Amino acid sequence: MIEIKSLSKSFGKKVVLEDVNLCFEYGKITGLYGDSGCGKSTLAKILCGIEKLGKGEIYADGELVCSDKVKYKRKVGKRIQTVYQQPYAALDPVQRIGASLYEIVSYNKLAKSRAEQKAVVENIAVEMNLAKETLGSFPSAISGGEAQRVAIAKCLLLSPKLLILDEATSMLDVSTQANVLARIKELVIKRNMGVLLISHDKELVENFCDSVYTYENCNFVLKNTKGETDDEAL
Amino acid sequence: MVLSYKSGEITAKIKGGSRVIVRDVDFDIEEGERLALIGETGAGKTMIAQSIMRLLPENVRQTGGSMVFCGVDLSDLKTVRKILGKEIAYIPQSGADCLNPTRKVKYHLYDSLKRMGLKGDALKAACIDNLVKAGFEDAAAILNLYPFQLSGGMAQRVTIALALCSHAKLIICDEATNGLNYVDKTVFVKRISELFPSAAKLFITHDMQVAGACDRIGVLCSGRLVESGEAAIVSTAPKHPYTQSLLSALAKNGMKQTPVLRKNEGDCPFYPRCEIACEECKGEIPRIEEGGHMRRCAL
Repeated sequence: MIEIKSLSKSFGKKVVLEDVNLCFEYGKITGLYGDSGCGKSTLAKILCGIEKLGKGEIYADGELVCSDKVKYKRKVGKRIQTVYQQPYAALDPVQRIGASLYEIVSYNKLAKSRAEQKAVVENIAVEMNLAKETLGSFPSAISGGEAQRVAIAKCLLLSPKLLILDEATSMLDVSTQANVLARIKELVIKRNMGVLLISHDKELVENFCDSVYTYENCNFVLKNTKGETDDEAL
Repeated sequence: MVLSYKSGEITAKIKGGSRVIVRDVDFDIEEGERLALIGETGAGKTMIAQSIMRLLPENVRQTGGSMVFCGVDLSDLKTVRKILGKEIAYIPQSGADCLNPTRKVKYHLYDSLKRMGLKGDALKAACIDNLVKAGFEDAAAILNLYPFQLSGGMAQRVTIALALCSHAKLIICDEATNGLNYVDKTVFVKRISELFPSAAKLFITHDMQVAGACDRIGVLCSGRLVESGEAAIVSTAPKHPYTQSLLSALAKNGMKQTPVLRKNEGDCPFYPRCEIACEECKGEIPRIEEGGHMRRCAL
Protein backbone atom coordinates (compact mmCIF):
# COMPACT_ATOMS: atom_id res chain seq x y z
CA MET A 1 0.00 0.00 0.00
CA ILE A 2 1.05 3.62 -0.63
CA GLU A 3 0.82 5.87 2.41
CA ILE A 4 0.95 9.63 2.82
CA LYS A 5 1.70 10.82 6.36
CA SER A 6 1.20 14.40 7.61
CA LEU A 7 1.94 15.93 4.21
CA SER A 8 1.96 19.71 3.90
CA LYS A 9 2.76 21.93 0.94
CA SER A 10 2.79 25.69 0.47
CA PHE A 11 3.59 27.97 -2.44
CA GLY A 12 5.07 31.07 -0.84
CA LYS A 13 2.58 32.11 1.83
CA LYS A 14 -0.29 30.19 0.25
CA VAL A 15 -0.91 26.89 2.02
CA VAL A 16 -2.26 24.35 -0.47
CA LEU A 17 -2.11 21.11 1.52
CA GLU A 18 -1.92 20.78 5.28
CA ASP A 19 -1.50 17.62 7.34
CA VAL A 20 -2.80 15.29 4.62
CA ASN A 21 -2.98 11.62 5.64
CA LEU A 22 -4.06 9.21 2.91
CA CYS A 23 -3.65 5.53 2.22
CA PHE A 24 -4.04 3.90 -1.20
CA GLU A 25 -4.75 0.17 -1.01
CA TYR A 26 -3.98 -2.18 -3.88
CA GLY A 27 -6.99 -3.43 -5.82
CA LYS A 28 -9.00 -0.33 -4.90
CA ILE A 29 -9.89 2.84 -6.80
CA THR A 30 -9.68 6.04 -4.79
CA GLY A 31 -11.18 9.28 -6.05
CA LEU A 32 -10.08 12.83 -5.25
CA TYR A 33 -12.64 15.48 -6.07
CA GLY A 34 -12.25 19.25 -5.83
CA ASP A 35 -12.39 22.51 -7.76
CA SER A 36 -9.75 23.31 -10.37
CA GLY A 37 -6.64 24.89 -8.84
CA CYS A 38 -7.33 23.57 -5.31
CA GLY A 39 -4.26 21.34 -5.05
CA LYS A 40 -5.31 17.94 -6.42
CA SER A 41 -2.64 17.90 -9.11
CA THR A 42 -0.04 19.18 -6.64
CA LEU A 43 -0.61 16.03 -4.58
CA ALA A 44 -0.15 13.89 -7.71
CA LYS A 45 3.07 15.73 -8.58
CA ILE A 46 4.43 15.23 -5.05
CA LEU A 47 3.58 11.51 -5.18
CA CYS A 48 5.60 10.99 -8.36
CA GLY A 49 8.47 13.26 -7.41
CA ILE A 50 7.91 16.21 -9.74
CA GLU A 51 7.11 18.56 -6.88
CA LYS A 52 8.92 18.65 -3.53
CA LEU A 53 6.83 18.23 -0.42
CA GLY A 54 6.96 20.81 2.39
CA LYS A 55 6.50 18.49 5.35
CA GLY A 56 5.55 14.85 5.83
CA GLU A 57 6.47 11.43 4.48
CA ILE A 58 5.43 9.11 1.66
CA TYR A 59 5.80 5.33 1.95
CA ALA A 60 5.44 2.55 -0.63
CA ASP A 61 4.94 -0.89 0.96
CA GLY A 62 6.47 0.47 4.17
CA GLU A 63 9.56 1.73 2.35
CA LEU A 64 10.23 5.48 2.53
CA VAL A 65 9.81 7.17 -0.88
CA CYS A 66 10.52 10.71 0.29
CA SER A 67 10.15 13.06 3.23
CA ASP A 68 11.03 16.65 4.11
CA LYS A 69 14.50 15.37 5.00
CA VAL A 70 15.01 12.58 2.46
CA LYS A 71 15.17 13.25 -1.30
CA TYR A 72 12.72 11.43 -3.59
CA LYS A 73 13.98 7.87 -4.18
CA ARG A 74 13.43 7.28 -7.91
CA LYS A 75 13.75 3.49 -7.74
CA VAL A 76 11.05 3.19 -5.06
CA GLY A 77 9.01 5.97 -6.68
CA LYS A 78 8.72 3.99 -9.93
CA ARG A 79 5.87 2.15 -8.24
CA ILE A 80 3.83 5.34 -8.62
CA GLN A 81 3.03 6.44 -12.18
CA THR A 82 0.84 9.25 -13.46
CA VAL A 83 -1.31 9.71 -16.56
CA TYR A 84 -2.00 13.37 -17.29
CA GLN A 85 -4.92 15.32 -18.74
CA GLN A 86 -3.58 15.89 -22.25
CA PRO A 87 -2.60 12.57 -23.82
CA TYR A 88 -0.78 14.14 -26.78
CA ALA A 89 1.48 16.14 -24.46
CA ALA A 90 2.86 12.84 -23.14
CA LEU A 91 3.86 11.75 -26.66
CA ASP A 92 6.73 13.00 -28.81
CA PRO A 93 5.13 14.21 -32.09
CA VAL A 94 8.08 12.99 -34.21
CA GLN A 95 8.43 9.58 -32.55
CA ARG A 96 6.32 6.58 -33.56
CA ILE A 97 4.15 5.08 -30.79
CA GLY A 98 6.03 1.76 -30.84
CA ALA A 99 9.39 3.53 -30.56
CA SER A 100 8.25 5.48 -27.51
CA LEU A 101 7.29 2.21 -25.82
CA TYR A 102 10.60 0.56 -26.82
CA GLU A 103 12.47 3.50 -25.31
CA ILE A 104 10.93 2.88 -21.87
CA VAL A 105 11.64 -0.86 -22.09
CA SER A 106 15.28 -0.37 -23.01
CA TYR A 107 15.97 2.58 -20.62
CA ASN A 108 14.57 0.67 -17.66
CA LYS A 109 16.17 -2.62 -18.78
CA LEU A 110 12.84 -4.44 -18.74
CA ALA A 111 14.03 -7.04 -21.27
CA LYS A 112 17.34 -8.75 -22.02
CA SER A 113 17.16 -9.31 -25.77
CA ARG A 114 15.61 -7.51 -28.74
CA ALA A 115 13.07 -10.34 -29.11
CA GLU A 116 12.11 -10.01 -25.47
CA GLN A 117 11.70 -6.24 -25.87
CA LYS A 118 9.39 -6.82 -28.82
CA ALA A 119 7.31 -9.25 -26.78
CA VAL A 120 7.00 -6.79 -23.88
CA VAL A 121 5.82 -3.99 -26.21
CA GLU A 122 3.39 -6.27 -28.07
CA ASN A 123 1.94 -7.62 -24.81
CA ILE A 124 1.29 -4.17 -23.40
CA ALA A 125 -0.33 -3.12 -26.70
CA VAL A 126 -2.67 -6.13 -26.49
CA GLU A 127 -3.40 -5.39 -22.83
CA MET A 128 -4.43 -1.81 -23.70
CA ASN A 129 -6.42 -2.80 -26.81
CA LEU A 130 -4.01 -1.01 -29.16
CA ALA A 131 -3.99 -2.22 -32.77
CA LYS A 132 -0.68 -3.26 -34.36
CA GLU A 133 -0.95 -0.37 -36.83
CA THR A 134 -1.08 2.06 -33.90
CA LEU A 135 2.47 1.09 -32.91
CA GLY A 136 3.69 2.21 -36.33
CA SER A 137 1.77 5.50 -36.25
CA PHE A 138 2.81 8.99 -35.19
CA PRO A 139 0.78 10.60 -32.36
CA SER A 140 -0.94 12.97 -34.85
CA ALA A 141 -2.50 9.97 -36.63
CA ILE A 142 -4.22 8.45 -33.59
CA SER A 143 -7.39 9.49 -31.77
CA GLY A 144 -7.54 11.05 -28.29
CA GLY A 145 -8.75 7.78 -26.77
CA GLU A 146 -5.91 5.82 -28.37
CA ALA A 147 -3.37 8.44 -27.26
CA GLN A 148 -4.64 8.17 -23.70
CA ARG A 149 -4.42 4.36 -23.86
CA VAL A 150 -0.80 4.72 -25.09
CA ALA A 151 -0.04 7.05 -22.15
CA ILE A 152 -1.49 4.44 -19.76
CA ALA A 153 0.50 1.67 -21.52
CA LYS A 154 3.71 3.67 -20.98
CA CYS A 155 2.96 3.82 -17.25
CA LEU A 156 1.98 0.14 -17.05
CA LEU A 157 5.32 -0.95 -18.55
CA LEU A 158 6.89 -0.04 -15.20
CA SER A 159 4.38 -2.26 -13.32
CA PRO A 160 3.17 0.50 -10.99
CA LYS A 161 1.48 -0.29 -7.71
CA LEU A 162 -0.36 3.03 -7.80
CA LEU A 163 -1.61 4.52 -11.07
CA ILE A 164 -2.63 8.16 -10.79
CA LEU A 165 -5.13 9.41 -13.36
CA ASP A 166 -4.86 13.18 -13.10
CA GLU A 167 -7.94 14.41 -15.02
CA ALA A 168 -6.90 11.69 -17.50
CA THR A 169 -10.34 11.34 -19.05
CA SER A 170 -11.55 14.93 -18.98
CA MET A 171 -10.39 15.57 -22.58
CA LEU A 172 -12.17 12.44 -23.82
CA ASP A 173 -15.73 12.11 -25.01
CA VAL A 174 -18.14 10.09 -22.89
CA SER A 175 -18.00 6.85 -24.87
CA THR A 176 -14.18 6.90 -25.13
CA GLN A 177 -14.07 7.69 -21.42
CA ALA A 178 -16.30 4.71 -20.68
CA ASN A 179 -14.00 2.43 -22.74
CA VAL A 180 -10.78 3.67 -21.09
CA LEU A 181 -12.20 3.42 -17.57
CA ALA A 182 -13.59 -0.06 -18.18
CA ARG A 183 -10.05 -1.11 -19.17
CA ILE A 184 -8.65 0.50 -16.01
CA LYS A 185 -11.15 -1.40 -13.87
CA GLU A 186 -10.01 -4.69 -15.42
CA LEU A 187 -6.36 -3.80 -14.81
CA VAL A 188 -6.94 -2.97 -11.13
CA ILE A 189 -8.08 -6.55 -10.55
CA LYS A 190 -5.65 -8.24 -12.95
CA ARG A 191 -2.53 -6.42 -11.74
CA ASN A 192 -3.67 -5.84 -8.14
CA MET A 193 -2.72 -2.19 -8.25
CA GLY A 194 -4.27 0.88 -6.71
CA VAL A 195 -5.73 3.69 -8.79
CA LEU A 196 -6.04 7.30 -7.73
CA LEU A 197 -8.56 9.12 -9.92
CA ILE A 198 -8.22 12.89 -9.66
CA SER A 199 -11.10 14.76 -11.22
CA HIS A 200 -13.43 17.69 -10.89
CA ASP A 201 -16.24 15.56 -12.33
CA LYS A 202 -18.24 14.68 -9.22
CA GLU A 203 -20.51 12.17 -10.95
CA LEU A 204 -17.59 10.31 -12.51
CA VAL A 205 -15.66 10.05 -9.24
CA GLU A 206 -18.70 8.92 -7.28
CA ASN A 207 -19.69 6.28 -9.82
CA PHE A 208 -16.26 4.89 -10.62
CA CYS A 209 -14.36 4.91 -7.31
CA ASP A 210 -14.48 2.66 -4.26
CA SER A 211 -13.86 5.59 -1.93
CA VAL A 212 -14.13 9.32 -2.56
CA TYR A 213 -12.24 12.16 -0.87
CA THR A 214 -13.15 15.82 -1.32
CA TYR A 215 -10.92 18.86 -0.83
CA GLU A 216 -11.83 20.89 2.24
CA ASN A 217 -9.65 23.41 4.09
CA CYS A 218 -6.33 22.32 2.56
CA ASN A 219 -7.03 18.65 3.25
CA PHE A 220 -8.83 15.70 1.68
CA VAL A 221 -11.84 14.45 3.64
CA LEU A 222 -13.44 11.03 3.11
CA LYS A 223 -16.86 11.64 1.62
CA ASN A 224 -18.11 8.14 1.02
CA THR A 225 -17.13 4.62 0.17
CA LYS A 226 -18.89 2.45 -2.42
CA GLY A 227 -22.38 1.37 -1.43
CA GLU A 228 -22.61 4.11 1.16
CA THR A 229 -24.84 7.13 0.59
CA ASP A 230 -23.70 10.63 1.54
CA ASP A 231 -25.88 10.56 4.66
CA GLU A 232 -24.42 7.27 5.88
CA ALA A 233 -20.88 8.56 5.37
CA LEU A 234 -21.66 11.60 7.47
CA MET B 1 -29.88 35.18 -38.86
CA VAL B 2 -26.24 35.40 -37.71
CA LEU B 3 -24.77 32.29 -39.31
CA SER B 4 -26.02 30.02 -42.04
CA TYR B 5 -23.68 27.07 -42.40
CA LYS B 6 -23.62 24.38 -45.08
CA SER B 7 -20.52 22.22 -44.83
CA GLY B 8 -20.56 20.56 -48.24
CA GLU B 9 -17.73 18.03 -48.07
CA ILE B 10 -14.62 18.47 -45.92
CA THR B 11 -11.89 16.08 -46.98
CA ALA B 12 -8.52 15.35 -45.38
CA LYS B 13 -5.53 14.11 -47.35
CA ILE B 14 -4.01 11.28 -45.38
CA LYS B 15 -1.34 8.68 -46.05
CA GLY B 16 -2.44 6.60 -49.01
CA GLY B 17 -5.41 8.72 -50.12
CA SER B 18 -8.09 11.03 -48.80
CA ARG B 19 -10.95 10.68 -46.34
CA VAL B 20 -14.22 12.60 -46.03
CA ILE B 21 -14.34 13.88 -42.46
CA VAL B 22 -17.48 16.05 -42.59
CA ARG B 23 -20.41 15.67 -44.98
CA ASP B 24 -23.78 17.44 -45.34
CA VAL B 25 -23.79 19.24 -42.01
CA ASP B 26 -26.21 22.15 -42.26
CA PHE B 27 -27.35 24.47 -39.49
CA ASP B 28 -28.41 28.07 -38.84
CA ILE B 29 -27.85 30.08 -35.68
CA GLU B 30 -30.12 32.99 -34.85
CA GLU B 31 -29.26 36.08 -32.84
CA GLY B 32 -28.81 35.19 -29.16
CA GLU B 33 -29.24 31.48 -29.82
CA ARG B 34 -26.98 28.79 -28.33
CA LEU B 35 -26.28 25.77 -30.48
CA ALA B 36 -24.25 22.86 -29.14
CA LEU B 37 -22.52 20.42 -31.48
CA ILE B 38 -21.81 17.16 -29.68
CA GLY B 39 -20.15 13.93 -30.72
CA GLU B 40 -17.20 11.66 -30.05
CA THR B 41 -13.53 12.52 -30.68
CA GLY B 42 -12.96 12.58 -34.44
CA ALA B 43 -16.62 13.30 -35.27
CA GLY B 44 -15.59 16.48 -37.09
CA LYS B 45 -16.73 19.08 -34.54
CA THR B 46 -13.51 21.10 -34.52
CA MET B 47 -13.22 20.89 -38.32
CA ILE B 48 -16.61 22.62 -38.58
CA ALA B 49 -15.40 25.43 -36.28
CA GLN B 50 -12.19 25.80 -38.25
CA SER B 51 -14.06 25.84 -41.55
CA ILE B 52 -16.25 28.73 -40.34
CA MET B 53 -13.10 30.73 -39.58
CA ARG B 54 -11.40 29.49 -42.76
CA LEU B 55 -8.57 28.10 -40.65
CA LEU B 56 -8.62 24.49 -41.80
CA PRO B 57 -5.29 22.60 -41.60
CA GLU B 58 -3.10 22.46 -44.69
CA ASN B 59 -4.10 18.90 -45.64
CA VAL B 60 -7.84 19.57 -45.36
CA ARG B 61 -10.05 20.91 -48.17
CA GLN B 62 -13.67 22.03 -48.21
CA THR B 63 -15.65 21.57 -51.39
CA GLY B 64 -19.18 22.80 -51.98
CA GLY B 65 -21.13 24.26 -49.10
CA SER B 66 -21.52 27.88 -48.04
CA MET B 67 -21.05 30.00 -44.94
CA VAL B 68 -22.91 33.29 -44.58
CA PHE B 69 -22.23 35.43 -41.50
CA CYS B 70 -24.62 38.40 -41.00
CA GLY B 71 -25.18 38.57 -44.76
CA VAL B 72 -21.43 38.39 -45.50
CA ASP B 73 -20.12 35.46 -47.52
CA LEU B 74 -17.22 33.90 -45.62
CA SER B 75 -15.69 32.40 -48.74
CA ASP B 76 -13.69 35.63 -49.20
CA LEU B 77 -10.54 35.28 -47.08
CA LYS B 78 -9.85 39.02 -46.84
CA THR B 79 -13.31 39.61 -45.36
CA VAL B 80 -12.84 36.78 -42.86
CA ARG B 81 -9.49 38.26 -41.69
CA LYS B 82 -11.18 41.59 -40.91
CA ILE B 83 -13.99 39.93 -38.99
CA LEU B 84 -12.00 37.36 -36.98
CA GLY B 85 -11.28 38.43 -33.41
CA LYS B 86 -13.64 41.39 -33.71
CA GLU B 87 -17.01 40.03 -34.77
CA ILE B 88 -16.22 36.34 -34.51
CA ALA B 89 -14.60 35.29 -31.22
CA TYR B 90 -13.03 31.88 -30.70
CA ILE B 91 -12.44 30.24 -27.33
CA PRO B 92 -10.12 27.27 -27.93
CA GLN B 93 -9.96 23.77 -26.49
CA SER B 94 -6.76 24.03 -24.45
CA GLY B 95 -6.33 27.36 -22.74
CA ALA B 96 -2.76 26.76 -21.60
CA ASP B 97 -1.56 25.86 -25.11
CA CYS B 98 -2.79 29.03 -26.77
CA LEU B 99 -1.12 31.41 -24.31
CA ASN B 100 2.49 32.46 -24.88
CA PRO B 101 4.42 31.04 -21.89
CA THR B 102 6.96 33.89 -21.95
CA ARG B 103 4.37 36.67 -21.64
CA LYS B 104 2.34 37.63 -18.58
CA VAL B 105 -1.45 37.42 -18.72
CA LYS B 106 -1.81 41.20 -18.92
CA TYR B 107 0.12 41.45 -22.19
CA HIS B 108 -2.18 38.91 -23.85
CA LEU B 109 -5.15 41.05 -22.85
CA TYR B 110 -3.43 44.32 -23.87
CA ASP B 111 -2.89 42.98 -27.41
CA SER B 112 -6.57 42.11 -27.86
CA LEU B 113 -7.88 45.30 -26.27
CA LYS B 114 -5.56 47.55 -28.28
CA ARG B 115 -7.09 46.08 -31.44
CA MET B 116 -10.42 47.36 -30.18
CA GLY B 117 -8.94 50.88 -29.80
CA LEU B 118 -8.49 51.05 -26.01
CA LYS B 119 -5.54 52.93 -24.44
CA GLY B 120 -4.09 53.97 -21.04
CA ASP B 121 -6.21 53.60 -17.92
CA ALA B 122 -9.24 52.42 -19.87
CA LEU B 123 -7.12 49.55 -21.19
CA LYS B 124 -6.02 48.49 -17.70
CA ALA B 125 -9.53 48.82 -16.30
CA ALA B 126 -10.92 46.70 -19.15
CA CYS B 127 -8.32 44.00 -18.40
CA ILE B 128 -9.45 43.75 -14.77
CA ASP B 129 -13.09 43.91 -15.78
CA ASN B 130 -12.75 41.07 -18.29
CA LEU B 131 -10.92 38.85 -15.81
CA VAL B 132 -13.61 39.45 -13.17
CA LYS B 133 -16.31 38.64 -15.74
CA ALA B 134 -14.43 35.46 -16.62
CA GLY B 135 -14.72 34.36 -13.00
CA PHE B 136 -11.50 35.54 -11.28
CA GLU B 137 -11.95 37.00 -7.81
CA ASP B 138 -8.40 38.37 -7.48
CA ALA B 139 -8.07 39.71 -11.02
CA ALA B 140 -5.24 42.16 -10.27
CA ALA B 141 -2.98 39.34 -9.08
CA ILE B 142 -3.74 37.20 -12.15
CA LEU B 143 -2.57 39.98 -14.50
CA ASN B 144 1.04 39.56 -13.40
CA LEU B 145 1.17 35.76 -13.66
CA TYR B 146 2.74 33.79 -16.48
CA PRO B 147 0.58 31.10 -18.18
CA PHE B 148 2.61 28.27 -16.61
CA GLN B 149 1.69 29.59 -13.17
CA LEU B 150 -2.01 29.03 -13.88
CA SER B 151 -3.92 25.78 -13.41
CA GLY B 152 -5.74 24.28 -16.43
CA GLY B 153 -9.05 25.81 -15.38
CA MET B 154 -7.51 29.22 -14.71
CA ALA B 155 -5.81 29.26 -18.13
CA GLN B 156 -9.15 28.43 -19.73
CA ARG B 157 -10.77 31.37 -17.94
CA VAL B 158 -8.02 33.68 -19.25
CA THR B 159 -8.95 32.67 -22.83
CA ILE B 160 -12.57 33.51 -21.99
CA ALA B 161 -11.39 36.93 -20.80
CA LEU B 162 -9.56 37.32 -24.13
CA ALA B 163 -12.76 36.57 -26.05
CA LEU B 164 -14.50 39.23 -23.98
CA CYS B 165 -12.16 41.79 -25.55
CA SER B 166 -14.16 41.63 -28.80
CA HIS B 167 -17.59 42.87 -29.86
CA ALA B 168 -18.52 39.42 -31.04
CA LYS B 169 -21.69 38.61 -32.96
CA LEU B 170 -20.67 34.97 -33.13
CA ILE B 171 -18.80 33.12 -30.39
CA ILE B 172 -17.31 29.72 -31.08
CA CYS B 173 -16.42 27.78 -27.93
CA ASP B 174 -14.40 24.73 -28.94
CA GLU B 175 -14.40 22.39 -25.91
CA ALA B 176 -13.82 25.55 -23.86
CA THR B 177 -15.18 24.00 -20.67
CA ASN B 178 -12.72 21.09 -20.57
CA GLY B 179 -10.53 22.51 -17.82
CA LEU B 180 -13.41 23.79 -15.74
CA ASN B 181 -15.01 22.10 -12.77
CA TYR B 182 -18.52 20.67 -12.54
CA VAL B 183 -20.31 23.81 -11.34
CA ASP B 184 -18.32 26.18 -13.55
CA LYS B 185 -19.36 24.40 -16.74
CA THR B 186 -23.02 25.44 -16.63
CA VAL B 187 -22.02 28.77 -15.09
CA PHE B 188 -19.77 29.25 -18.14
CA VAL B 189 -22.65 28.78 -20.61
CA LYS B 190 -24.82 31.09 -18.53
CA ARG B 191 -22.05 33.69 -18.24
CA ILE B 192 -21.35 33.71 -21.98
CA SER B 193 -25.09 34.14 -22.59
CA GLU B 194 -25.26 37.06 -20.16
CA LEU B 195 -22.11 38.76 -21.45
CA PHE B 196 -23.09 38.41 -25.10
CA PRO B 197 -26.92 38.41 -25.04
CA SER B 198 -27.38 39.15 -28.74
CA ALA B 199 -24.48 37.09 -30.09
CA ALA B 200 -24.99 33.68 -31.66
CA LYS B 201 -23.10 31.01 -29.73
CA LEU B 202 -21.72 27.77 -31.07
CA PHE B 203 -20.62 25.37 -28.33
CA ILE B 204 -18.51 22.50 -29.57
CA THR B 205 -18.41 19.96 -26.79
CA HIS B 206 -18.57 16.33 -25.78
CA ASP B 207 -20.05 17.28 -22.44
CA MET B 208 -23.79 16.60 -22.18
CA GLN B 209 -24.01 18.95 -19.22
CA VAL B 210 -22.82 21.89 -21.35
CA ALA B 211 -24.96 20.82 -24.32
CA GLY B 212 -28.02 20.51 -22.08
CA ALA B 213 -27.61 24.12 -21.00
CA CYS B 214 -27.91 25.33 -24.63
CA ASP B 215 -31.04 26.01 -26.71
CA ARG B 216 -30.46 23.46 -29.48
CA ILE B 217 -28.21 20.44 -29.92
CA GLY B 218 -26.78 18.95 -33.09
CA VAL B 219 -25.33 15.44 -32.78
CA LEU B 220 -22.41 14.48 -35.02
CA CYS B 221 -21.38 10.92 -35.75
CA SER B 222 -18.35 10.36 -38.00
CA GLY B 223 -18.81 13.71 -39.72
CA ARG B 224 -22.58 13.41 -40.31
CA LEU B 225 -25.32 15.27 -38.47
CA VAL B 226 -27.49 12.40 -37.24
CA GLU B 227 -29.87 14.26 -34.93
CA SER B 228 -30.73 17.84 -34.07
CA GLY B 229 -33.44 19.54 -32.09
CA GLU B 230 -34.30 21.31 -28.88
CA ALA B 231 -31.71 20.72 -26.16
CA ALA B 232 -34.32 19.63 -23.62
CA ILE B 233 -35.48 16.81 -25.91
CA VAL B 234 -32.13 15.69 -27.38
CA SER B 235 -30.40 15.61 -23.96
CA THR B 236 -33.16 13.73 -22.16
CA ALA B 237 -35.17 11.73 -24.71
CA PRO B 238 -33.07 11.36 -27.88
CA LYS B 239 -34.51 9.45 -30.83
CA HIS B 240 -31.34 8.40 -32.65
CA PRO B 241 -29.57 5.25 -31.33
CA TYR B 242 -26.20 7.05 -31.47
CA THR B 243 -27.37 9.86 -29.16
CA GLN B 244 -28.92 7.24 -26.89
CA SER B 245 -25.55 5.43 -26.70
CA LEU B 246 -23.78 8.70 -25.85
CA LEU B 247 -26.20 9.25 -22.98
CA SER B 248 -25.80 5.72 -21.68
CA ALA B 249 -22.00 6.19 -21.61
CA LEU B 250 -22.38 8.97 -19.02
CA ALA B 251 -21.10 8.22 -15.52
CA LYS B 252 -24.55 8.69 -13.97
CA ASN B 253 -26.02 6.19 -16.46
CA GLY B 254 -23.50 3.45 -15.77
CA MET B 255 -20.81 4.21 -18.40
CA LYS B 256 -22.04 1.64 -20.92
CA GLN B 257 -19.59 0.87 -23.73
CA THR B 258 -20.53 0.69 -27.43
CA PRO B 259 -18.32 -1.99 -28.98
CA VAL B 260 -17.93 -2.52 -32.73
CA LEU B 261 -20.42 -5.24 -33.65
CA ARG B 262 -20.16 -5.54 -37.43
CA LYS B 263 -18.53 -4.21 -40.61
CA ASN B 264 -19.84 -0.97 -42.05
CA GLU B 265 -22.33 -1.39 -44.87
CA GLY B 266 -24.38 1.36 -46.44
CA ASP B 267 -24.83 4.97 -45.46
CA CYS B 268 -25.36 5.12 -41.68
CA PRO B 269 -22.20 6.15 -39.78
CA PHE B 270 -23.40 4.41 -36.60
CA TYR B 271 -24.25 1.10 -38.30
CA PRO B 272 -21.10 -0.82 -37.11
CA ARG B 273 -21.91 -0.12 -33.44
CA CYS B 274 -25.71 0.08 -33.47
CA GLU B 275 -27.34 -2.63 -31.33
CA ILE B 276 -30.68 -2.37 -33.10
CA ALA B 277 -29.43 -2.14 -36.71
CA CYS B 278 -31.30 -4.25 -39.27
CA GLU B 279 -31.41 -4.89 -43.04
CA GLU B 280 -33.10 -1.51 -43.71
CA CYS B 281 -30.06 0.29 -42.28
CA LYS B 282 -27.83 -0.94 -45.13
CA GLY B 283 -29.45 1.36 -47.69
CA GLU B 284 -29.59 5.12 -47.90
CA ILE B 285 -30.62 6.65 -44.59
CA PRO B 286 -33.68 8.94 -44.71
CA ARG B 287 -33.81 12.38 -43.12
CA ILE B 288 -36.87 12.52 -40.86
CA GLU B 289 -38.13 15.91 -39.66
CA GLU B 290 -40.86 16.27 -37.03
CA GLY B 291 -41.68 19.69 -35.58
CA GLY B 292 -38.18 21.17 -35.41
CA HIS B 293 -36.55 17.84 -34.59
CA MET B 294 -34.43 16.08 -37.21
CA ARG B 295 -32.91 12.63 -37.24
CA ARG B 296 -31.20 10.50 -39.87
CA CYS B 297 -32.22 6.94 -39.11
CA ALA B 298 -34.02 4.19 -40.99
CA LEU B 299 -35.72 2.96 -37.81
